[in-house]
Amino acid sequence: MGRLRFAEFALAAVAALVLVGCGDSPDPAATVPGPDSAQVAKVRREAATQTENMVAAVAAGKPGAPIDVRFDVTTKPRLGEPLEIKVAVVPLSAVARLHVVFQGNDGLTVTSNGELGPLDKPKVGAIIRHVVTVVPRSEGVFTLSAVAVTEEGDANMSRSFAMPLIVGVPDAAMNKTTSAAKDATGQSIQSLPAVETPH
Amino acid sequence: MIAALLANAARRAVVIFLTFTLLTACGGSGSGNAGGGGNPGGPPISTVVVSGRVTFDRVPIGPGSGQGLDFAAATAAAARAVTVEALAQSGGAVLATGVTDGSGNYSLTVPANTSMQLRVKAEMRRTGTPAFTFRVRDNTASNALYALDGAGFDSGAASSQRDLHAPSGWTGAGYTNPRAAAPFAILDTVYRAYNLVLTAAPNTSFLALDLFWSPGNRAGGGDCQADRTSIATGVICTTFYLAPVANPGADRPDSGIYILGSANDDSDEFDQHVIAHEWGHYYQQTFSRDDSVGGPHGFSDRLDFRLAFSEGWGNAFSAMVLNDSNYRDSAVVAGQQRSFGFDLESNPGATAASIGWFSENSIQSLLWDFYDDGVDGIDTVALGFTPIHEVMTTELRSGVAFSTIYPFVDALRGRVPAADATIAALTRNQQIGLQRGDAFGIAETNAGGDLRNLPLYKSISLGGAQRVCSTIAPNGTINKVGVYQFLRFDLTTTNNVSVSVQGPPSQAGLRDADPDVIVYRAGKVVGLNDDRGISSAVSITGAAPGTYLIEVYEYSNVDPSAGARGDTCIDVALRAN
Repeated sequence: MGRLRFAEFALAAVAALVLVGCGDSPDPAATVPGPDSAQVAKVRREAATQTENMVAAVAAGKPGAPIDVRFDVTTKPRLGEPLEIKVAVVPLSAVARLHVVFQGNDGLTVTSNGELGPLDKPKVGAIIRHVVTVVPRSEGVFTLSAVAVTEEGDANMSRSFAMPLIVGVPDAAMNKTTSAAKDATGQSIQSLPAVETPH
Repeated sequence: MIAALLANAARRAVVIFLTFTLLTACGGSGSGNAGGGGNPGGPPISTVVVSGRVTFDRVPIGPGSGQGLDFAAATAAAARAVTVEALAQSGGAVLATGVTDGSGNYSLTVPANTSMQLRVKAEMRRTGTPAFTFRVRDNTASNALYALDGAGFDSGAASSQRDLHAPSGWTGAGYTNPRAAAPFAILDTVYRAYNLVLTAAPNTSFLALDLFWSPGNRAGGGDCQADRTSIATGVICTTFYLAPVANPGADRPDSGIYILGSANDDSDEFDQHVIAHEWGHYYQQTFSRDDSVGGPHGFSDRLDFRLAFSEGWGNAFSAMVLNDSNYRDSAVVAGQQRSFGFDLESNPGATAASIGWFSENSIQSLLWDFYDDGVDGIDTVALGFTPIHEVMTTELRSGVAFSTIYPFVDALRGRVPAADATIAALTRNQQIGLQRGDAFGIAETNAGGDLRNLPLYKSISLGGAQRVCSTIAPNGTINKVGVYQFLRFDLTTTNNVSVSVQGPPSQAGLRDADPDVIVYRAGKVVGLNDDRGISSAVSITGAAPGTYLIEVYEYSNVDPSAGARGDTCIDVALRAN
């Protein structure tokens, strides 16, 4: 028995079709608010269905970016170990040229495939798959940025997308504090630390 | 209504616990610490009291439409009715155990001058009357029970106070610390849910329920299927309730409520409506009857009426538990905390495209209107939970009809005759046909898009035959209106009977039909044949007098993975053997 799953009611202003049940994960691409046309929304939806295991990168700045970026990390980020990030770039509207540059912030170094393109006249809706390799240099929460520059006529547009990564200690802290141990009665215990205030 | 509320409040007081148990091992341990100094000139002090309050971070969903979890607005909420233990620092023996009260306060009598630590288990247990066991466990760590652990301390020679708090783990940019609040936030919603039941039935004994949560619990891919192996890795597909079964297969996950916890996608520990919705399924399955076929569903769908009732019930029950008709569900979308929601008070109107017996939206709206004390259009009833609980646990549980809106409304009208006219008006307002004394929807005229769906249960008599059509248009496959077709028959004497179904052979590009048949009596399967082939039959030996229901469907319409056959008319025959 599933339950109603997340969807964007208010902003989408569409019929309240709320998918439920197993595997109906949220569809970020279809729910990002913005003045997109129906055509763009359709391209987004179709792309989202073809990249179901990926999550949407966070677009910085105004809505209306001519591309979507989605990504997936299939292995756990570890300090000092190369990490492959699978990226899907989806042109949402026709552009003459597309060029994407991937950049890590402090603590995250891009070691290979740091650029995608330039690509001439990428097909609208056709998913462009790319794998970027990074190496975490320290533990913490980091961001891999994808800076996309598109050209159409005399106009250039630059949009930045952020892909958050958690490396090392914070990730471990999120998931576990100590390994499950048994108490005196033999019950396996997953211990969580309390904030304790003696009076 | 005020009197009713006060009565409810009084009942709630019954379940505020102050059970403090000093284990027999306490107060005279061989540690050498008991009876130590601290009371010069007087008798040795053997025990002291350690008391305090247990709280957790309650993270609300922001008030605005679409707003997600608002960590800045988190408050310290009482961890109610949870187990608190004092553990010996050496060896971990339980020195004393107690339960927090309705404000999160605890008090333990422990050996004096003893090194110990406090542990708050993510469980609510009670024996006697009422009785329950609700636990939050980590499905990614061998189902370990979550516990909030304090630091070691010496109990000393005088009573002392120690408060314990479970923080959310959110530090501004994400969850960078352990998410200790989550298990207690989940339990807090369960606390509210079982207390709602106790307002109607104070002596209830609840079936033990485990709630499985992990920060790693995530949705998985679009073809996600949760089994024991995937669940151990956190792939649970969605938040859901899995009912216990008599003989579970080796691959079947443990029964319970599984809750998403993935911080970067969708986590539900603070989504109180979601947890209460699933607990509502647990309630219906254990105290009532849930004949739902499950599967995907949405507000605009025309659903199999059993599924529509089950999901509408879940949503309405969540609103009753929280006394809040604004259903909210948070998630992370494109890195942002967001939510979606709807108001059960916003009744789908008579002109809505898909309202009726097949609409979870209609069902939840109706159930909420029966319960709540808000006056809203023609909703002038405020029945509270008691009559609803009585119907769920009596007529719906043991009735001969499937668990749908029809037996529910009919029984409610009978139990609350003063509200009969309003209950009927509200129901008809959702385009649901009614006839007093009818649990089968005999008076229904809303065909759900295909006149062949009416009557909802076709009559068939011993020696007779009927043709029904399993359809996928206009409503869809799997669990939508038309896929399953229903018949009923009555036996006046004990008989050996057989039900046979015959589908059409391949024709005009369509493959052979594959009709299946299930026979029910009062919600229990008494005969089933889902073998492949264009015909199936089931025999029932010594069928007792009573009403029986037959469910017939074309298999590929239920499981369209290899392509649904679509419109498939099936001949059903009932014979005495």
